[in-house]
Amino acid sequence: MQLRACSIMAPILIAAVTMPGIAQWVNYVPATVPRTSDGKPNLIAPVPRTAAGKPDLTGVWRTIGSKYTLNVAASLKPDEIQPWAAEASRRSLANFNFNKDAPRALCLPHGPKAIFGNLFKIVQSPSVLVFLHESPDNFRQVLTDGRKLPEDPNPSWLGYSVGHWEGDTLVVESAGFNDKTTLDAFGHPHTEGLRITERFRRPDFGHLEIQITFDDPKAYNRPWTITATAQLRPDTELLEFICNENEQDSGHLVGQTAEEANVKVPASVFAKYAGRYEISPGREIVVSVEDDQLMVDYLQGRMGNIPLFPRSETKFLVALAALGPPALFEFFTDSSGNVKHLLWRTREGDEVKATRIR
Amino acid sequence: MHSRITIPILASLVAVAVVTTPLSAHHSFAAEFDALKRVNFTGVVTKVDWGNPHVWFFVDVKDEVTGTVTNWGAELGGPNILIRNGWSRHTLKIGMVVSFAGSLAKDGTHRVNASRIVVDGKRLDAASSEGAGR
Repeated sequence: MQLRACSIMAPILIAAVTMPGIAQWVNYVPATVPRTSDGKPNLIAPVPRTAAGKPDLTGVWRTIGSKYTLNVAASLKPDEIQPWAAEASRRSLANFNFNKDAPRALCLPHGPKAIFGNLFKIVQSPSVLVFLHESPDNFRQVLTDGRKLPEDPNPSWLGYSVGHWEGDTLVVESAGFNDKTTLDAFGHPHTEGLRITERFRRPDFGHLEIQITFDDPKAYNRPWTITATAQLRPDTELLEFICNENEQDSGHLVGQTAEEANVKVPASVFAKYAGRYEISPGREIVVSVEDDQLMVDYLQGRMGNIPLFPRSETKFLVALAALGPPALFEFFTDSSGNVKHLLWRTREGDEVKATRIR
Repeated sequence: MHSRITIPILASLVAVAVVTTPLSAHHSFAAEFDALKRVNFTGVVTKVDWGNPHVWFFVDVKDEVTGTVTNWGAELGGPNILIRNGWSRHTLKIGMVVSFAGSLAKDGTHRVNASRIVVDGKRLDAASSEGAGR
């Protein structure tokens, strides 16, 4: 019954990952896309423009990870988050990995964080931009026909959006959200009073720069702005995603077990693990402690610091449901009590050793 | 314990992780599976449920000690993410021998979240427990 892990080679993995799907639209190469001499899409080609001379934002996009992807409040000071909202995030982080009632587990939408991580398509016309989100399958309309936001609208998952152009920047204002979702994977809550202003700029063919301002005075003491970059995915296409067609999990969601809830590791132990661990020259895993919470950056800063949750004094999980199967980090100590290395078990089940260098 | 992988392999793994990290887990992995309770199986495919939000396949696994055969369900990512990783609905077929690792279901049923899947000597990215979109 043992899987012979030693037979697994990287080239096989890569081959599997890059194997073309025969006649699949997900690998279709459109003739209309500007290309470099090696056939790849030329992402720095000039921006396409509409007949009216405005940048055309049409295309399939995906945001690139940043420190805000999982934590939109990463730049806020603790006293700028109202106590109830900070507590909701803390509780959500402590339970997120075990939350069986999250909207997503019930096949409900992401809400305002829909733009992060998953493919979306913008279809632009003079009077409306339509955002199509693949997973979950949601649409959002940004009306650009001059109308104002509705007053006291029926709250909705993705809100109501109107847009106007300021030069080459599309400014989108949104309101009318329900309060059933969070702003991010860290569980920062929002109220029905949330207003979002997005400024979209397409500086070249392949990139969309997005400034997002959150304003929710019943949860946060000041509006704040984050930036995100989306990259064009010109050689793929959205696919259908009907969440309930083969849903086989909901009857089996147990949540946090007593054994898991009873794992208590003193913060002094966390301090012992904080440091830099080298996988190979230039490739590091950074472990730190923030507010008595053990954090890890194992993606070279691309997703910021991610909370680790103890399963024992030496084993910790990346417990953000948004990241899928949890990566496991196990710390190893020598006979004098010094932490010498860690093992990272990736979400694909492979083990990677990183030696402590600081 | 799995064997250690070497650094050249790691680079590709990290690259894949970065490129494909979605933010769309359908359900919380840990609400259903225990990442510390790992099993390794080789078995014969008896059924494939190819659909959203997760593909499930079922295998008959024989216990080499007792000879008992148990049917296990194994969860993958959604069809869209699998298709983008080179899978199709024809990749797994009834009667095929599949090896994989997995994390056991917490409710004691014969279910795992699968990873390290090897089919016909090839390893496939399982996209386990992830949402379909990316």
